Amino acid sequence: MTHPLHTPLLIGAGNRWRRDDGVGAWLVERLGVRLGTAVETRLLSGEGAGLIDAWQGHATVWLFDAAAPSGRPGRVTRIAAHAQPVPAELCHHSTHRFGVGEAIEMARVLGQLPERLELVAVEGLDFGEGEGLSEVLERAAEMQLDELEALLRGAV
Amino acid sequence: MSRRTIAVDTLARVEGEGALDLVIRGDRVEKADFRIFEPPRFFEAFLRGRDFREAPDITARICGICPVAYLMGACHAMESICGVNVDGGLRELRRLLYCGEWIESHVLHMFMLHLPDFLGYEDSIAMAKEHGELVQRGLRMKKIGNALMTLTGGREIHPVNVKVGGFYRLPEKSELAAFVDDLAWGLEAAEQTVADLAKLDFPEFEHDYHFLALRHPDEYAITEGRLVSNKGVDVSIPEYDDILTEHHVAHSNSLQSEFLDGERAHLGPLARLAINSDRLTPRALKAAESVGLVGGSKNPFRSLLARAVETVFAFEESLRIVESWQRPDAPAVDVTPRAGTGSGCTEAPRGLCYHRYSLDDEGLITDAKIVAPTSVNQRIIESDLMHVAQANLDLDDEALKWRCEQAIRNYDPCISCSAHFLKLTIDRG
Repeated sequence: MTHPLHTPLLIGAGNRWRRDDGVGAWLVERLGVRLGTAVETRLLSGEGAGLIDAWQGHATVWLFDAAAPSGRPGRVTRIAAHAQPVPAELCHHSTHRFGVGEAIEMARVLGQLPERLELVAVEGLDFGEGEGLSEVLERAAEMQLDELEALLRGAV
Repeated sequence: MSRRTIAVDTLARVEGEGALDLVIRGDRVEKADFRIFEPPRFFEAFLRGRDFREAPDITARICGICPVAYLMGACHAMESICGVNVDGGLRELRRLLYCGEWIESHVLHMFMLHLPDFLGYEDSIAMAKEHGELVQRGLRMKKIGNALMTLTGGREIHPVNVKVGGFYRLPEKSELAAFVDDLAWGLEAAEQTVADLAKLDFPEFEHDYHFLALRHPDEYAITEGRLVSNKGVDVSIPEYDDILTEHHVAHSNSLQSEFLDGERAHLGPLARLAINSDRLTPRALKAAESVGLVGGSKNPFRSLLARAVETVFAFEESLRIVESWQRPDAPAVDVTPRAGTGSGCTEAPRGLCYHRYSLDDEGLITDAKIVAPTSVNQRIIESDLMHVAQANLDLDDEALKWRCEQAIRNYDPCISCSAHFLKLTIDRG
């Protein structure tokens, strides 16, 4: 049995009841089914303090989040966040909140980043109320699943 | 006469989008406009025609940092109209939820938003490089506040477990008891925070404010009480509209609120301490005494310390509740709609949050009015900026800008709530 701390942790950040903001949860749920006990999964709001707490003790963390719209819905950005800074605007949460970007940079300063933290951000289109991704985003996310599964199997 | 103009594209570490225009002529500050250009959000308009039970969840969406203030204001107003009193274990659980919000909001503001001003850092991440232990303490305290909100409210942002009449689901007593160790730690951490923050240099500035807060006969008021000021106001919540009025100003999309006679009201932690120091819990009172905040302070920069004292209170009160809570038999009392008008007013972390609704006999909302605390504090922010800028004209432009931003953050303004970034322009023509 693999020690839990060495099991990759997949975190889906966002709100699944705000359409494309739920793309992180959408991906994590499907990857969790494909990879079974080889990974741990958690769905979180994206609140920074909760994120830092969630990844404590995990050597490898994959964090999936929606990125703010900039005219290219479905565009996927992958950042090896353990090795390079995250642009704050990529996963903007709120001016009054402590969000994903701030959490990663704060954890870096505090020495609380996992050895490997992969951030996968998918640019959203529709952040209105309701469940389900927009068509363009679901298609884009679906296209990522095989590659992400392969990458994660390599990490397991 | 020399002319200097300073423009800051965005003032960070406040919620929402707005701007500040300072006009300085010679050695006199002529104008300080706190300009909120974030569009109006029309919550009051789209509440009309909705069922009264929808108001808490809809209004909670006004703010991601103080949703409980909106949940509670709406619930209390509806319960008032329908003749329902929520007490006992349900009332205690609501108070615990509100303490969770105070903890997470106050800690976020103190450690992440305001403290960098006092220590001279651009933001909390830069501050953490040299004050890592302090920041880690703040993160742990905030996490406890978030967890309290998740337990009682269903989730930490926009809780979904509160309803008119009570809750949808009650936690088990054991779930509350599991918080005892964390809350005991948080209480000591908050006391240490008061001691640490007291060592800061606070800018010298005082003003004779008209503080307004809820006052309760038996407890440090959060969800109930009378509207009491340090200058003689003492009215019931339904009389709110008899003392405060709202009006539109050309430079802001947020309505501004003030006393009927035009005097500016000051809401929030300094107001609460001015009105309610004698209602503080024992360790919170001791903390207030240790930093000279019993009875409040006329120096708005000391609001940072006031938030720390209230964080001590919130942990202490939470600990009392989780240790003594008796689980009610039912998660809510039955509520039958009836026609009428009612109001609710609670203490959001940044001050009074007022709701007033009218219902028809089927429970549909026919009228709604919501006043966020920043709507009221806007006027006092403008006044403070006039005085702070005037007293610091000898500072260079960057230093003056810094001091003005720090002064704005004294009020932890939630611009999204009131209109709902701030661009700072200093014109020294």
